[in-house]
This record gives sequence, structure tokens and C-alpha cells, in this order.
Amino acid sequence: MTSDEELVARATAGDQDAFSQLVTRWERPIYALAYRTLGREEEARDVVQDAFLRAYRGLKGFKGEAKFSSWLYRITLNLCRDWMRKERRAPVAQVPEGTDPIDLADQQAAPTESVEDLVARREMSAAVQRAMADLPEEQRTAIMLKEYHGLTFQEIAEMLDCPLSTVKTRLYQGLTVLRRRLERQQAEAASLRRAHWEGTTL
Amino acid sequence: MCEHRDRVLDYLYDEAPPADRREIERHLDGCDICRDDVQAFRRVRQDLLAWGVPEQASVWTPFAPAPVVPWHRQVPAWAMAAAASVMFVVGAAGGFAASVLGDNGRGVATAQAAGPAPAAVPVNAPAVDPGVVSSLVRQELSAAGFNALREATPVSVTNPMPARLDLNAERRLLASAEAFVGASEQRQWLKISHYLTVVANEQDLERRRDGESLTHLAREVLVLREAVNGLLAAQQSRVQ
Repeated sequence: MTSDEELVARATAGDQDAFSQLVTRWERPIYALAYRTLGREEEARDVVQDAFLRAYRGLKGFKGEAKFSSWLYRITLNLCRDWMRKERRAPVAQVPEGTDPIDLADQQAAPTESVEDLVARREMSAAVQRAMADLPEEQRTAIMLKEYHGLTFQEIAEMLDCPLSTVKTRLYQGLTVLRRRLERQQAEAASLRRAHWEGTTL
Repeated sequence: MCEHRDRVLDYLYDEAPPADRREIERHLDGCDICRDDVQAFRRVRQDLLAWGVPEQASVWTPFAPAPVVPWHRQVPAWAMAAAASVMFVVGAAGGFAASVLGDNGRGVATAQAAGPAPAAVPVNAPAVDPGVVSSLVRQELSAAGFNALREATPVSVTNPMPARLDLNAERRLLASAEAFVGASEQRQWLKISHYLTVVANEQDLERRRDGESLTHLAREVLVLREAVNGLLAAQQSRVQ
């Protein structure tokens, strides 16, 4: 597979196909980052398009000191930050109201996954979204880049332009907050299920 | 909070070198806080995996080739409408001119000749007089025996439906219309056959002219050949 550096060099020389290959390779992770940062599909799509447009226009200024993906992540995060500042909005958790097991039965990801497992996964996803949306932006970004994009502490520090120890502090604090919230939510969910089960059996 | 927090994170995310890992593991054996953190964070990391991202079609299309649009689709609608209007006007004017010049232009005989002579219209008339047109139409209808229109119940513009329908008048109107269409078709065939005759005559005339030219050329060739023969004979006699 052609490396990002080679594709970037060809794209900088005017090869549109090379840039299209970079887009194909990185569109999905960039969309995931924008979606998890903003919590909105439509806005995430706009950010992805804008990010690639900016990258294309700024290719000549990209000197290759960082990885192309890190540069792209940084553009995306800046665009997300601009959007939230402009709209004065915090990230939201797009969680569907209620969970209908009958609907979920049609959405089973794998034939081996039972409807109960699917319900539990959806509930957990909603809980994670809510907990992440409540985190301070720095902690949320650090967790997202580490957990969902697999960046090293050093790469995150370079991307966010902060010391390595700061990244670790943000991550540690964020994970600690998430731990408490998720444990509390899971305890509440278990309590509700128990009450529901007792109500139906009595 | 333990002072080994950062190293615990390295251990959790597999970023610690092997030597450091062993050292951290030894620390975890004796530090309840760090051991608890590692176990809890592993559960959190597992929970975080539940947050998926919806499937999304590609949003990047700037380099997609522009769709090929046929040339006629690139012409604006107003230009198409204008062209259609011009064609209609030209066609109508041509048809009208042919109808008016039928007898005066190239001597085309039509059924019109049987009826009253049409009003004379100058060929280079700058504009068509609507009165002349309606007069010609009336003459055409009259020549075809289309008189039932006078008998039909008049229909006003403000009241398009007559108060009472006369079925006999309707039938007569239909019969007259059929007769008019039949006569019109017959006239068209006569016109076509006349045009074909004219064209055939012209071609015959041209063929005859070509034949006469060829005959004339052949005669000249004969004369020249006789002259050459005469010259050759004279030359031979001189040689002898």
C-alpha cells in the first residue's frame, strides 16, 4: 500500500487521484472524530468536507514534520472547535428516546448477538455518549484521540501543542470522571431493571 | 493519588517498554490505588467501545467528473422557446405564401382554380393582411362546399355552449367537415402529382439538352477527324 507521505508528495505535485486516495483512507476516522466531538451527524459531515478542502488547499504548506493523519486530525479538531464557538453549543449525545426491542431485533449487528445484548449495547452507547458530552473539552479530546484513534501520548501532545504530562493528566482525569459516571449509570440501569422485573413478576 | 499515575497509564495503553512493564507490575502488586485504577479503567475502555459511529456515505466529491450534458440540454429554455417560435412563424409564413402564390408563382394548378380567383397579394408584401387571410379561408371553404357552418348554432365567446343543440345541424356539420377533408386531400395529391410532372419535364428537358450537346460534340470530332485524315493524305502524297 502506498504510504501517506508518498501520496501527499504526489498530491502536492497536482495528482488529484493521489489526494482522493488519501481521502478514501482517512475519511472514516475523520468523520468519527468530528461526529464524536460534535455529536451531530449533519455538522460532522460538513466538518469532514471542510477539513479535506482545507487540507487540499494547504498541501503546499504541509512540510511533513508531523504525520499527515495528525495534521488532518488537528484541522478537524480546530474546525469542530470553531463550530462550537460560533454556534455557542456544547457537544450533544444523539441518543434515540426509548429503546424498542422489536425495532432492535431488525438491527442486529450479527446473527449471534441476542436482542438482549443489542439492547444492552445501545444503552451502554447512550450512557457513554452522555458521559463524554459532559466532560470538559480537553479531557474529551484526549480520550477520543487515545481510545478511538489509537494515537500515542507523544502524538497527542504534538497535535494539541501541550506537554506530554498534560495529556496524561487530562486522560487520567477524564477516565476517572467517566468511571464514576458510568458506574453510577449502570447502577441506576440495574436498579430500574430490577424494579421492572419485580413489577412484572408480582 | 499515587505518584506512579503516569506510568500506570503507559502500562494501561501498552506504551511502556518491557523493562518498565515488569517494574509497574511489581508496583501494582503493592499499590491498591493503582491496581484499582487499572481494573476500573479497563472496564471504562471496554464500555467506550459501545459508542459506534453511524455509517456514512462519502462526502468528498470535488474531483468527480462533471456529468456529460448533451448540447441541446445546454441551450437555455428561453432560447429553445424563441427558436420554436421563430420556426413556427417561418413555417406559417411559408405555408401562407405557398397558398397565395399557388397560381401566380409557378403556375401550379389546384382545386382553387375552380373557385373564384383569390385576392392578389404582392410577393414582397411587408406584412400579412389578416383580412386577406380570412378572405382566402372563406373562399377555400366555399370552394369545398363547406356551407354548414352557417347553419350551425353560433357559439359565443362568453357563453361557449349553445342553449339547445340541433342534432341535424351537427350531422350536417360533420358531413361537410368530412367532405372538406376529402377535397383537401385530393387537392394535395393533385399538387404533388403536378410537382412531380414538372420535375420530370425539367429533367427530360435537361437530358435532351445534354443529348444535343453530345451530338454536337460528336459532329465536331468527326469534322476534325476528317480534316486530320485529309492532312495525313496530303502529307503522304507529298512524300511519294
